Amino acid sequence: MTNGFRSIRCLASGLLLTALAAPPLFGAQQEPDSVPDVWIPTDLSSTLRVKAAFNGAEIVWRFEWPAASAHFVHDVLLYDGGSWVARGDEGGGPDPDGLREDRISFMIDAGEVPGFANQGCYVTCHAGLPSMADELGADTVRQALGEAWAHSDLAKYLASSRIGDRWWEAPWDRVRPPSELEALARSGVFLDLWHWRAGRSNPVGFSDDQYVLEYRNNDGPSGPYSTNWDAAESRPLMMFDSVVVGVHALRWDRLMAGEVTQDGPHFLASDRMVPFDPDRPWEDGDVIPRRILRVPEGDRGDIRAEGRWESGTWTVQLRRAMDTGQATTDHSFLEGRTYHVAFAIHSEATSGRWHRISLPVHLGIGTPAELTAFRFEGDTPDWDEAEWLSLPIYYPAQVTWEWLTSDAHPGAPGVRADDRSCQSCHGADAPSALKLAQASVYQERRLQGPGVEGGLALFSVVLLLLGGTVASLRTANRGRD
Amino acid sequence: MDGLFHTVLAGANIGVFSLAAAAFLVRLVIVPFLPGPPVEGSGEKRWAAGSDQVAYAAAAVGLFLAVLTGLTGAFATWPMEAIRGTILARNKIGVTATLLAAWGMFVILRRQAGPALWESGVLRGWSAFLVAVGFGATILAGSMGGSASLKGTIVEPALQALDVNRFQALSWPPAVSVLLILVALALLLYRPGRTAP
Repeated sequence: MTNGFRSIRCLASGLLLTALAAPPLFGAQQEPDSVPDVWIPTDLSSTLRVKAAFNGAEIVWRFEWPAASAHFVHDVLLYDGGSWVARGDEGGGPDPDGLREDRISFMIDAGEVPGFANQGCYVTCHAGLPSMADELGADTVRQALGEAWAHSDLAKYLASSRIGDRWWEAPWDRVRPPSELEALARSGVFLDLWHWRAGRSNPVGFSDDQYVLEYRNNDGPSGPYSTNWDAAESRPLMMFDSVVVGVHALRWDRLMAGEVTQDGPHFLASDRMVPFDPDRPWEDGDVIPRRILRVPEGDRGDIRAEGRWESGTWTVQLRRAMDTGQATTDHSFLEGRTYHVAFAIHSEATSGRWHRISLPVHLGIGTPAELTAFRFEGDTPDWDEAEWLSLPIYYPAQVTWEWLTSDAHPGAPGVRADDRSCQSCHGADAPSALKLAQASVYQERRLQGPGVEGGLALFSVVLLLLGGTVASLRTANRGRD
Repeated sequence: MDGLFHTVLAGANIGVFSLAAAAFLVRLVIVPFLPGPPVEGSGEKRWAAGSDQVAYAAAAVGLFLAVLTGLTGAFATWPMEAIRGTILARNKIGVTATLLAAWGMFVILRRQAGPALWESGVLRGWSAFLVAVGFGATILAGSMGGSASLKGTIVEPALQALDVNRFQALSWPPAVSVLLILVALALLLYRPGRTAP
């Protein structure tokens, strides 16, 4: 048996080395909370209050939600050490300087998107999307989707836009040809996305206007903002017009101290900016917004907005023509019809998947529903006519459509059959939303997969198998002696 | 080479390891019913020798196939970026490493002990444990990618009934791992005392 034990020792060495190499193999994931990409908000759930009204020509929405602080400056250019550097909108989780705008967005289904009435936003949320732990890189996306794909990422998309064997299958790299996507859009298979931005659209009185089909598309090319950067000269293109707003630039220390207000200068637009003057005696700490706001053109400018933060609450009102005439990018609202809507809030200087979402809501235009839009006359609704609909919103972590429809999700059969809603299993009240968020976070932690802990677990298993084998051989050997 | 190679090899792999486990089970169950040492040329003797050799050979072939299956899984299914970045693949790698270790130990044990393995209760018992772990890990690893792509294995209903979450294959607390390591070290250091003549 001596040779046998020598062989075992050799094998043991190999296995030990393999097991010791396991943690790096498993992605060097640390404790989830310590990794920016898995930043988890402290408050997992909150409440969004909603009202809706229509007058035959326009539909108007009113929202309120709590926000401890307002984030209406998205990103800036900071003069530091003789050069202009971009700050804000950085990294996963909250921007470290708080420079990322608050947002409310919601998607509307006119009844044609499979799964949306029951699962809401989840139908658009897929593995590999930007800001997910398994985000696909630009090279991978380009390599798989080729030149025809005009983007470097995936963004939101519907399973209908992909070629799968069953309706819920959404292989990211099997996009339907343009002719089929157009046919889907013409038949109403898309989600109308209203996307209000506290920093990049609200100051000029608009919301961004988008739709989701094979991607999160813009309704038109000219949105409410552009980038204030002269790449050739590495400096801003524009600066504040001091004649109009009183300053050429903001100051970093005041911005960080929260002394820049919604009523004071904080954004650039055509009526308050002049071309950048490089000969000015710029000082360290001078700040110029990195975005130039403008009135969005065409279909992109369909949604007008008024939003204001006061005393810890955002109040936002959005309005749009009930029928914009753009049937492949906007759903028209018809009196007596019902729709499905799901909402999302970005706060705490977060973006991407770090939002709180609602489960889908049944919207009735002048007809009883979970959220009933009431008819009003004239231009402005009397909001006192309707009660707020209080919707629990919660952090969804990294639960994707693929996970929801996989066997790992106990409710997958109902999702795949499209006959069970999230609420039917998980409830719809605030405590249920919190539980759902907690379950999602649990899933997110697991999504990190076996990290160092997993490597240690694997090491222990391999070592145990080895130890047991050696001990049993020794015991048998001794018994034979 | 495409993902089909992986699917075919994984199927073959599961089949061969299942054969090894079945043959092992036959040998394990036959032993207690044999009246003393098997008589040369008897049916029981042939069954015992045959099942032992089939279990040993099938496990060795299965190990070879498992390596090939792993290689095709790594290079012919998803982009490496996706494999590294998904919980499914990382769990699958962990379970695959476990099955390789378990079946590898079984093959080594059988090689070192020879047919005498069946004469020792300790070796029989430990072999049964290794085969159980190896077989379980084989089924688990084989069903992980399949279930995610909605092409689960035949044991899918059983895994669901047992509430086996393939996304949490190696997710027990570090304290448990440390305990297992201590047990393993104790076993490695174990020196049985000499039996009295």
